[in-house]
Amino acid sequence: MAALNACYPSSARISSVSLKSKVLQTPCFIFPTSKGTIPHLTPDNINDNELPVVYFGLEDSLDLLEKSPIFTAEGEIDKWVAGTSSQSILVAPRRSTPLPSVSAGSHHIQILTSSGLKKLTNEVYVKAIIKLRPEIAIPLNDNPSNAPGVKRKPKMTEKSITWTDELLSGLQNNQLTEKVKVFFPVPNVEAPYLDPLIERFRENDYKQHISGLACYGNLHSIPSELSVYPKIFLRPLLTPLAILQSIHQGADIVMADLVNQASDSGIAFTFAFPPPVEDLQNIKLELAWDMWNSIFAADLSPLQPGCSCNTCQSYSRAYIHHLLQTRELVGWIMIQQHNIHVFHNFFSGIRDSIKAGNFLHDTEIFKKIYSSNFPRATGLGPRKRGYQMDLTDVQPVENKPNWVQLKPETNNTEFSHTTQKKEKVQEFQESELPERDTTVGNFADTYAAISDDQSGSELEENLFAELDDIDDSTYRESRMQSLKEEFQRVSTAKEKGHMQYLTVENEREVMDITTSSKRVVIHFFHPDFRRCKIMDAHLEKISKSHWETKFVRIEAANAPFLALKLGLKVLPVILCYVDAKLVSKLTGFTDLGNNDDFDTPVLEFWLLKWAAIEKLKENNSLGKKSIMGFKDTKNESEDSDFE
Amino acid sequence: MSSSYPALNYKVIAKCSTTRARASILELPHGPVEAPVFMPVGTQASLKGVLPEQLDKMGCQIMLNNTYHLGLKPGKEILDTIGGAHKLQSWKRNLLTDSGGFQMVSLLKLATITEEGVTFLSPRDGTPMLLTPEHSIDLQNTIGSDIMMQLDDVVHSLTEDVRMEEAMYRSIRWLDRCQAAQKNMESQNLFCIIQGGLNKRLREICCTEMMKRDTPGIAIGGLSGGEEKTSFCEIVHTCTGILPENKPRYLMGVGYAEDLVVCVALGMDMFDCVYPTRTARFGNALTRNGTLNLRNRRFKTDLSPLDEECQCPCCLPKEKGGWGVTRAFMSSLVSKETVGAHLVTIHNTQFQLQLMRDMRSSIIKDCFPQFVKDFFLKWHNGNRSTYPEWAVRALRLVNIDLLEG
Repeated sequence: MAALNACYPSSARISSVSLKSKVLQTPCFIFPTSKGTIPHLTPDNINDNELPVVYFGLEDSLDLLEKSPIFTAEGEIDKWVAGTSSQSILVAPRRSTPLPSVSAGSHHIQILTSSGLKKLTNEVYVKAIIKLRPEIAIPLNDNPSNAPGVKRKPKMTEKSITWTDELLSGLQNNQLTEKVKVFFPVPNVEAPYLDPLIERFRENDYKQHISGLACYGNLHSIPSELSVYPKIFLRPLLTPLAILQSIHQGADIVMADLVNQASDSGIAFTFAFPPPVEDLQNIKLELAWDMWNSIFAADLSPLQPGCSCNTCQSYSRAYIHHLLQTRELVGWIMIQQHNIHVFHNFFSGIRDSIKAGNFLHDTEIFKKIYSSNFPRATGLGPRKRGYQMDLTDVQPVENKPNWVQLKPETNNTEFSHTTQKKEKVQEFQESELPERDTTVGNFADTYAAISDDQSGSELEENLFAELDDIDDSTYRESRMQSLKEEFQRVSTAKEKGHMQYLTVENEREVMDITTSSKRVVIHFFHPDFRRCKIMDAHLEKISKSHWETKFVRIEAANAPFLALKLGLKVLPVILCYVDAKLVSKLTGFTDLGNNDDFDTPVLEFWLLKWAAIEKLKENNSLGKKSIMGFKDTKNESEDSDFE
Repeated sequence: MSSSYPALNYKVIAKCSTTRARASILELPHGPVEAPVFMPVGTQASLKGVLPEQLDKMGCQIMLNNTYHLGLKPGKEILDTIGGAHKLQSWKRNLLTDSGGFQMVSLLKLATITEEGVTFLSPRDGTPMLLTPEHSIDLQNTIGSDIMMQLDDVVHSLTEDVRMEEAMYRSIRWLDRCQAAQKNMESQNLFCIIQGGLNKRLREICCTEMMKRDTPGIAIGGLSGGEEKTSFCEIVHTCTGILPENKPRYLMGVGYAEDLVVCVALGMDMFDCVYPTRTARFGNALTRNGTLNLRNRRFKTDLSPLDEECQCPCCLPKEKGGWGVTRAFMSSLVSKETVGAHLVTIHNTQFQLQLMRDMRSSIIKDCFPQFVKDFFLKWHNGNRSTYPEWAVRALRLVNIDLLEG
């Protein structure tokens, strides 16, 4: 692992790192996984020549610390990675660009798992490495996201040494030193704080068993005595130029986070190294293309003509553009494949350039002819999941739904009273959940149905516990929050008399009701009409399960003004108001099949059609067996992009 | 038993001697389709999470696209410029497109249906738009699908008879208009759709009328709405009793494993459904022993594959060239990583395709009745008491008694 070819006056160098199963030619990159997956790619879409080593942040799988399945189920780390069988795996305590955490103790650091912050002790971490046997391990280390204070800095170095020592002895006791290569974690502190390393690295065990350095800080700070070690540079690099510069400063292996970021944004790489010959006058070449741009809508050429990646061999820009526009997951698979391929070639180009002694020159040209930044992402990323989630905070919904639900327009000026009351409507607007979550919805329904029998808080507790059982996802926190909000909505609705089917005495009150609840269904009846009684029976039933809507009835004779205004001649009449606007009117049973013995679901379905109810409810006979899109509402609709 | 049209040669190659099941082959412009067949649904010109080439490798010979969605994005103009949907998605096998009517009614709250067509508000800008049989065929001609579906008047199967009858007769009139509007007879087939809800009389009239119009294939529509399964099966049975033997029969929107097995026995050839792929994205893996909900705690440390017998790359161990994906690992990915969804989608799609292939080969060997019995026994983990009543009844119609022997 010696530097074979120094490239004066740059520290860029060609070297090789021997792992158990392969020899890495450097400079190269390591690809970050998220929960053991290369984002978007199933193993058959991974070319393992291009991704010989992947990075696994153990915090991804330590929800329950040593009780996590990754500990309790048999098998090495490869059981927890969706990769190819020849890929090598690096395990580190945290993700490659971890979310902020600050605190650490003398025996632990804080990690962020999908079930929240946890304390990871070195004892547990060493156990994990011994059990999982990755080809590369970075020992536990303390690298806070905020700048550490003067008192903490020397401790960071001390901890790196102590924790590395413990790992090394653990590996020795288990005869794993050949299998697991250890890269010493150099903390992010200035050079003087790293002095203790020089002594330590002179000792035999380090000489024998430390294979390289994992650099969390500046490459300048690394003591020159240690420069012979291969260096993994773990700071985020956002542009190709930043990568070139870090290699210039002596990085041998860098992290490829920028590939994931670009792919998620629909950005397809077009850069190459060494850069194309300079024959353009002051025109900067783009580093990449934003595939959301509609100039690609009918473009049948590949992403990058001449590219030999799988995507460019088979698919067109037009298709990829279409897939992004429709937010089809396959679009991101294609861009990810292409970007990895370009990135891989970028590094072979770097190695060739260093070998040829042109690295500095080529870097200069690269800087001159390429834009300094990627084009700004204009489109949305995929639905946020795992690796894209910032767990430190409840996120606003960034991904708006692709399709809008159109509310019918009420052009009819007859209903002018609604516009007059508009200001008032604003005041009474109910808070809406940003995104429909069916689990939350189902729980809220249960809550609505039984909250009268049990005390509210006790019931909440029970439901939360049940949620725990089915759900330990990253959404849990925000889901709990939504659930609380949803329960609040249920309570508010109940206070307003939802879930009851009441008779209103005068039309004044009717108008007030239409503005105080978001959804209102009004039945104009005649006490002697048979069909009105049938309607009552159905509405009574529906009102019990649809807590989100207020159901009332009024005798038409008590509403002379409205009856005249709305031209009510035939009864029963059902009016649906949403956001204080009349959205639909049902006269008689015409839309229900003109039949006296229609089923309640038929009416429910009609109400849904006008958004007068939120959804068909599960406990209802129609919940599970209904027309088209509503089949099996239980858990299928969350993601049902309109199939 | 065969039929021949410019863009479709159909041949029944084997018939079950007990049931109405048949094994057949459709020669279509983009290659052969071996039936009984399940067609995965790529709503917007893509099966969610699976590249066209991956689908091809699984042996999928025909997939679905939705006319309505492609009409919105990328739109007719772009499709015209590009030269159709095959080219757009680099798909070398066959495509079937629905007419768009189903989506109008299911997705849009404001669709109103008149004799002229379906009026709806554009989800793009809210302007009123009209979809007529002519528009639908024009768009499907542009898409270039190997099988086009007529525009039909879709009503929920529980709708009462007057409206149902109207819808049924209107669908017949719309077929006439679709046939008149059809352009690419040489490269595209137009299938009719039998309507009539759960009313046998209406279904019979519709079958007779549609058969007169001599389309290369025949679909049964309006039956995936979750109606009573017993009446559903009776209707299928009624239709397959009338429909000609020498044409492919397509049951729209059906794809649960039990339904597939029963409906193949009743004599259907083609099926489509979003269920297997949609449910995959929620972490439900289909196996011969029923569905696994991977979010369940008990899978968290379960190192076995999704389905021991499955030959899909997820389930095959690494030593055999697969990916050796365990239930435990899947359970850690479900609803957290897109790759988790991709993996289960691949598995479930493979499950559907394999189930159809297994039925086909058992029909050819004429041991289909035994296959049906084995299937149900396994699906219900050896417990006959959980067999659904509707399936037992439906299979009796075609001389299989699940509870006997």
